[in-house]
Amino acid sequence: MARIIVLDDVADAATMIKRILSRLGHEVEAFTEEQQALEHARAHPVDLAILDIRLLKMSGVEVLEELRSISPATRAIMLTGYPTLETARQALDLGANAYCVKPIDRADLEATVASVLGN
Amino acid sequence: MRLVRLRFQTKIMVGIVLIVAAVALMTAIPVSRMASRAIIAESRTRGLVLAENLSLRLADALLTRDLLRMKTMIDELKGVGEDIVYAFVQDGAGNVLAHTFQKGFPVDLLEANAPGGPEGEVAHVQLLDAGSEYIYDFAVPVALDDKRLGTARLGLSRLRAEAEVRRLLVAFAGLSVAALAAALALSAVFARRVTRSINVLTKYAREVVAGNLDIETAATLEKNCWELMDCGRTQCPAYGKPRHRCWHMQGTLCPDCAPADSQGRKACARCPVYRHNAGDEIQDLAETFGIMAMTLKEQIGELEEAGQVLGRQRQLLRTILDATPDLVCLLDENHVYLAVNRGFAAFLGRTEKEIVGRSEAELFAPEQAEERMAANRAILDSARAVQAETRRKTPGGERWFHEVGVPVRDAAGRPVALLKTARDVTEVKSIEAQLLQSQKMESLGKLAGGVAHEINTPLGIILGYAQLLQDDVPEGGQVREDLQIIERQAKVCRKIVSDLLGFSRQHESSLGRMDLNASVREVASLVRHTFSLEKVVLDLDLDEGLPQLVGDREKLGQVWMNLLNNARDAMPGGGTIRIRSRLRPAEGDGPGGEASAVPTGGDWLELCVADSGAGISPEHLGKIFDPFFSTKGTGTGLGLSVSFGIVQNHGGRIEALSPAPEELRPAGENGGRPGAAFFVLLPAAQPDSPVTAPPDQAPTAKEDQP
Repeated sequence: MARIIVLDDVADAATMIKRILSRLGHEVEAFTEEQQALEHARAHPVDLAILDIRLLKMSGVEVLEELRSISPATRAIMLTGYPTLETARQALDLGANAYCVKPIDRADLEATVASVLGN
Repeated sequence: MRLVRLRFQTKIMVGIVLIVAAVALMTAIPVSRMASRAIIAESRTRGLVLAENLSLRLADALLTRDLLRMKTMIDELKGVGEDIVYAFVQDGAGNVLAHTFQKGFPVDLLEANAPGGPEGEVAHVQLLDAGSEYIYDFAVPVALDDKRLGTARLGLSRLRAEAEVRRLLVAFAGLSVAALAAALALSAVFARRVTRSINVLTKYAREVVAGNLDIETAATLEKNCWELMDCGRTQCPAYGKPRHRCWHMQGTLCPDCAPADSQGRKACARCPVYRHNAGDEIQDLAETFGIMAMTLKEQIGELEEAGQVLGRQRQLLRTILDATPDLVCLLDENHVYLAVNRGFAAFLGRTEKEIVGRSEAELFAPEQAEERMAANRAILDSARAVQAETRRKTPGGERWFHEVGVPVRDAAGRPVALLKTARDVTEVKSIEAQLLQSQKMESLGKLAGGVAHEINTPLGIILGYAQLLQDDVPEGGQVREDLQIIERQAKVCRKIVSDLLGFSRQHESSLGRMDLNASVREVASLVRHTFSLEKVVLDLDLDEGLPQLVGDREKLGQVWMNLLNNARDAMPGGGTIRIRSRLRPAEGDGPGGEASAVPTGGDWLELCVADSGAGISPEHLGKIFDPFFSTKGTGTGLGLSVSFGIVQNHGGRIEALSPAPEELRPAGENGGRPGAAFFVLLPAAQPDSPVTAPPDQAPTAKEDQP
């Protein structure tokens, strides 16, 4: 099973994703603070990061960049509040493997995670 | 006949004859008088000489008293001239010694004359009246050495002298008459010469009065000015006019001419042209007359031209006034119509002739007329333009008019008339209302978008936990069913939020050359996975030879996304979406070969998205692009509306057909279902078209509104 971190400025949203993915057997850590998440990534190997594009201090894209410098192998799924091509393209251009549109649908999330990890 | 009525020629003749006659009379009378006096005096002198001669010769005879010799001498003397009436000799005592009378000596004659002087030594002449004639009697003393011997007497008739005088007078009269005749003949010739020019002028003047200005009163020039000066200035008004004198013309270009009016004709005196061609006053008059007629003709021509221009402008103004759909009328101070245009007449259902000259009271119902007159008075009293929007009843129902009343002022600035125009703004009003409505909708959309954004996260959490919790409760139980309802409704909310966000989303438009197929492929790849979960397959049929287009990648991608979502929603049980791109050259067939034609102008790119769903009913087909129109029950009805706006702002067109044309239906699937096809037409980029051309500035401006 994979080691996953979830970063969302809304704690309930992060927790919910953690709950969904934990049930599948993944090892999930939820964060609301960018630095905490990055510190965790420095300390532990991370297979997948699920990042909200809009965060408190930084943007998800910035976090992704930093994360890549720490752990280049970590895969990423971006969470976007609106399914625009712009954000999707941006996320994919920056190396995200996929994106999910908020509000998160469980089946959608599970399928996306499976597909990203499977790749 | 009065003198004034006499012909000019006659007047000249009469005048000349009278002058000659007067001169002849004035000369003949004193001359003849002087001549007769000289003849008489000469006759007397002759008589005296004859008498003195006789007296000298008688001296001897008297001394010797030779009577016979005396008689012979006096008879000889009488024979000298017929005018000698008598002669006789007296002795010192006065006795008659000899005489020439045949019938006895008239005694009275002795006393009638005698020598003068104290001693009778001086000859004396006395005029005697003989009844039938006057006779000069000469009494000359006959003396010898101061001794007076007697007197010689001679009678000389004045008849001969008078006959001489008469002959002289006759000669004078004859000469005068001859002079008069000559004067008459010469004056006739002269008068004819003078009056000929005047008669010509009179004839031309009559022609001018009759309206014929093409007259040539002056004789042709002896030598033309342009030849004399050898100037070659063909633009000069005098050039090529052999009958017109350059010195009468304005604005000649002759380099030798002083500017007009500075020196006038004085400068011409030295000019060879003037010296060659100038005539007398009558010729001058004729030339001036000719120039006058020419100038008059030119001015009449200009006047006629100005009249025609005025007429054309009047017609043009009339056409403009009649062509405008506005109602235009001109009223005087007493509310009487002075002029109206066709629109106004049509509004009243009358002809212009029926309206002009009538007052408001005659044309409108009392109440309406009173209202109109009050409005007219207000404008005239205030002398200021007034505009208002009013609602008026017309045969076609109530309509809105934007009315403008402008006072028309006289030279003193006093308002004397009123120009009123009224424009039917019913349509504008309705569009204004629509605009207001759409602005309301837009703010509502933005508000909704803001709210939707805030709701998104909590909604996601609700949806997520509702799904999560379902695992914790047994299948088939009430709680699980309730959780499923929560999940379903949360998904409805999610769709609504998504639409609202799409509707209200703002972003800068960025235009560039783009490839339609690439844009479609990108969107298709984004949704392919999600769609496959719902058993919806994408079937791409893209024409690889398409030219580029100028557009906003982001926004057009949004359109493809909306169309694909829409197609997927139309097939809840799954199906195939056919996506076809192709080139539509100008003037081709409509979408699918049967609907509307391609817009004119260059080539067009067409993208068609066809589904195999239940189709769109004809009554819905006209409304699907309206905002908030939805048949799905789960949408906001904004997706197609937003797409419509984006395509329009790219200068393109979006249309829907249902059932979908046969060739677009996915083969072998959902055979019985009509499906629907959406066609997007976008103009192909011109090879040299600038990429910065903004076809969709409008939405940006619209979105910037509060």
